[in-house]
This record gives sequence, C-alpha cells and structure tokens, in this order.
Amino acid sequence: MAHFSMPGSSLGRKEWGLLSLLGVLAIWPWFMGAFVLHLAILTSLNVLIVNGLSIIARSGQLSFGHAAFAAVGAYVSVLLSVEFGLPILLTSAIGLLMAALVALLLGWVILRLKGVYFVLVTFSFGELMRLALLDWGELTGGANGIANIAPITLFDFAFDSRSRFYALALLVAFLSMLLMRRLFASHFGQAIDAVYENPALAESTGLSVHRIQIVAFVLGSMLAALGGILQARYIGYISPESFNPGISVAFITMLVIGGQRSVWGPLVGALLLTPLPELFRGAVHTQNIFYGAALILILRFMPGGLASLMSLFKRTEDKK
Amino acid sequence: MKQELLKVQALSRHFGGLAALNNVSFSVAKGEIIGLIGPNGAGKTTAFNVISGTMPPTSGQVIFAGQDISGRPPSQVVVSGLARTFQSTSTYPQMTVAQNVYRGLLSRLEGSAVARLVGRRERLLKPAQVSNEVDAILEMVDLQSWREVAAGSLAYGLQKKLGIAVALATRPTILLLDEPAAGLNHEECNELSKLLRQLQEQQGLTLLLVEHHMALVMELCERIVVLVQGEKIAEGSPGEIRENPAVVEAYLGAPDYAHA
Repeated sequence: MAHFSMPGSSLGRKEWGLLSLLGVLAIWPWFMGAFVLHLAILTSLNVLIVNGLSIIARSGQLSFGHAAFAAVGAYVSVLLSVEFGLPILLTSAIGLLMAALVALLLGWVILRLKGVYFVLVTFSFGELMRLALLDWGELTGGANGIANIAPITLFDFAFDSRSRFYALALLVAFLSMLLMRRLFASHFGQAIDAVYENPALAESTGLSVHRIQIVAFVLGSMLAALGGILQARYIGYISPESFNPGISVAFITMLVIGGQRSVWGPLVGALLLTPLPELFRGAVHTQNIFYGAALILILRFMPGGLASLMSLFKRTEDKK
Repeated sequence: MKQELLKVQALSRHFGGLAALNNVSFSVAKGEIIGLIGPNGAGKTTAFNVISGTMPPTSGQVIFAGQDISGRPPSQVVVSGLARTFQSTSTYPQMTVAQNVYRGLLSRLEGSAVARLVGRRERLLKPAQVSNEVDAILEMVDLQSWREVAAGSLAYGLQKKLGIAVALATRPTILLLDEPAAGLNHEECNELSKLLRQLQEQQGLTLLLVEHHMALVMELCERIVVLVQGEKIAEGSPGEIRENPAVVEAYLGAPDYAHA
C-alpha cells in the first residue's frame, strides 16, 4: 500500500498526542480509589461492547439487541462453570462461539430487513432473550439471577480485586480498539464501509451486502459477548435485567453521541456516558430525559458524533 | 457464427398483474455491442435488472457463458464476469477516484476475506498489484488526472465515467450499461461513444446498452433489440431497425394518426 493511501491508515502527530493523553487518563484510576476504579472498569467494558456495536452499525444496520448477545456470552460461560466446573478459558470460548452462532442464525434471517424493520426485530430479540432468561428459572435462576460468580483465575492468578481486574479490562478494551483500527484499515473494512455508503454499487461489484453484514453482525456480537463474560466475572452477579433492552439503548446512545463513523466514536461515547449515570445516581429518571435530548440534538446537528469534532479540529490545523 | 456469450430465454417479469417483461428472448455474441431500446415504460430497465440479478425473473432464463445465472444476486453474477453500471451516477462520493476503483476490485483480491465471501473467481489480483491495476483501469477511461479527487466533486460526465471504471475494476467479460448517455452534453456523448468503442476493440469487452439517445445507439451498436410494452417487437442492424414499420409506429404512432 505504499503509494495507495487508504483512509486513516497511519497515525498523525495529533493522534499520538491524543494517545498519550489517553494513556495518562487510563493509568489515573489506579490512584483514585475504589469508586473511580469501578467506573474505569465499567468504561473499559463499555468501550469493548460499543466497539462491537460500531462494527455492526458501520455495515449499515443498527442493532437494538446488542445487550442480548452480552447475555448469551455471560449466561453460557457462567452456567458452564457453575454446572460443570469447566475452566474459565473454555467456558469463555464456548460463550463466544454460542453468541457467534446465535448471531449467524439470526443475522442470516433478519439482515435482509432494512432500517426500521431490522431495528424492530433486534429490539424484539432483546426482549425475547430477557423473557426467556426470566422464565427458564431452573437453569438461569429467573429474576434472582446467578450470584457469587467466581472471579477470573488465569494460571493461578486471580483477578479478584478492582485494581487487578482493571488491568484486564483495560487490556481488552485496548485490544478491541486495535482490532477496530486494523479492521477498518483492511480490505474487509473497506468493503464494510462500501456496503454502508452505497449498497447497490457494492453489491454490483461483487461485495455481497448480505454476507458482509452477517460477518459484521457476528463479529460485533462476539465483542458484546466478551463484554458480558467479563462483566459477569467482575460484578459476580448476573440477572436478566443486567442485559435488558434498556442497556442496548444505552450502548446505542454511547455510539451515536460518540460517533458512528469513526474508530474513536465508541471510546468517546463510553468515556463520557459510563461515568455520568453513576455520578448522578440521585437523578435516575431525569437524566434519561437529558440523554434522549442529547441523542436528538447530536443526530440533528452533529451526525458524526463528538468524534467528528476531532477531524474538524484536524482539518483546521491542516489549513494553517 | 460468433461465440454466444449471453442468452436471454423467454424472460418474463410480472409486477402483480402487470407484465413489465413478457417472453423476451435475444442473445449477445462475444465482442458485440448490442443496444436495447424502446419508448418509456417498455421494460428496458426491468430487463436490465433481471439480467444483472437485481431482481429475479418470474419465468425464463438468463444463460451467461453456458451457466444459468437467473435469480442469482448481483454479487454472484458479477463474479462470473457480468458487470453493470447505473442509470444515474453511482459512486462512493467521499472517496477519491482511485479509492472508488480500488473498492470495485476488492472482490478480486487474492487471500482477502472479501474474495473468500463471494467464492472462487477468476482474474484474482495480488495485493501488491492493486496500485497498478487501479492505474490501468483509470487509463482505460482516461481519468488518471483525477486520481486523487473526491468522486462527489467531479463533474456529472466524469462521475458517469467513474461509474464505468468501477464496473471495469471487476474485470467483466460483458458490461451492461444503463443509459450511459443520459444527462451528458453533445461533446461528452461523443467522447462516451469513442470510449465504448475503445473498450470493445482494445479490451475485447462485450457491451449491452439500454439507451434513449438514438444517434448514439445507431452509431455504436451492431445489433438492436426493440422492446415495446414488455415485448420484443424487432431485432436487427441499425439500418433494419430504422426501416422497420413496427418500430417507427411504436415511436411515432401509426401513419394513419400521423396524417390525421
């Protein structure tokens, strides 16, 4: 790719500056006590999950059932550990594969739907998942959920404290950012963007819209599942409400406010919107009004999300 | 007799009770330029869409290079070597001209996930050859000097040319052009005619064009198929079509009325 530049394939000086700032921001929670560390862990997991949502969105479909895939990963891996005592790496792998399988089967059928129909069906899928988990009480514990989930232990090292788990969550979030960058600088990432920007043209040049959207859906749902698996191990508790459609909407809010068409979007969205609800616990209901308003304002006036401010900044720099 | 490349057999497409295309048959030989003409609503675009896989036929077959491709989606059809362009401009407007062409050849990239998704195809391209291939395609349509310009900021005529370039990037054996001259001025039209002739002679490309611009069709095409209300009413050389009373009637009305 020497003299054939693909969009966004190399880091500029501005981005390196931004990265070092992020590095400092990432280390800072370790010195700030339990609460900040807790928020930092949740933020890291949300970066991972919203990255998954972003892969799906960039192929041109908005999934309103993203949390349901986190549920698949979490419940499958936890139940396999609890019921059969299988090792964590194995149960996690099976959890991921199950989420991939569900996404593949569901995607094969419903990815032919466009726009609002796809949104409605994925929303129903999320609700269906919640109800199934509630009703299947003997296995899933119903509304009580599953408590006392053992922390992740790898090679005799237990991620049983907040500061230890944060290291893991941060690493995974970082790797998912790296995956996003590599994916969207790759040929396949270009195909995903092509499918979004002009599906008819993409299809007529051999880029099967349906198949590319399926791959994006499977890949994105697997990231959600990984997030679900990690969250279950961190909190030590899962219930159907941990993954209800409201959570899916929160992921979408992060993605849209952060920016749907940028690899930085999910990071910005999760960084901004994960701590806010925790900081304003006293105003649980009023804050939702603000998120709704923010969502509408962003969609109306800044469709590229907050991440588009960065490229705006870059452009004015270039002009100088 | 030249080698038959595309054969349309008793093709029909109904929309509810309306037969947009009714029992149409014709064939295209390798290296030919064929025109598909007819008044508005004759079923040209429907024929085009059914052949390229955008919609399945109600009945009948499309045989391409000996294979029955009817009902396959466009992404599969193009893999076998049949590409199409669009009536209005169709590009990735924010991408540069070169990036547009690059996206057109994605499905041919050796070892890439995209190529694996669409299945086996010929004329695979090594990733190291991408840049050269993009240049080669741009040279075919004479767009080299616009290489780094965003597609959306090109003049209309150039955007249509880019549409052809993106289709060419799939390295088709036959190219279906949907009203390539629509919206072009006289000069651009002449240039288009020259370009299409060049593609036929130098690249050995077979062309099937749906077109309203009579002068272009008459000048360019070796054979013309005339559709009226979903049915084929005539087929022949430009000279034959010009003299054909049924065609004249379809376009100008019956002589009786004309004199009335």
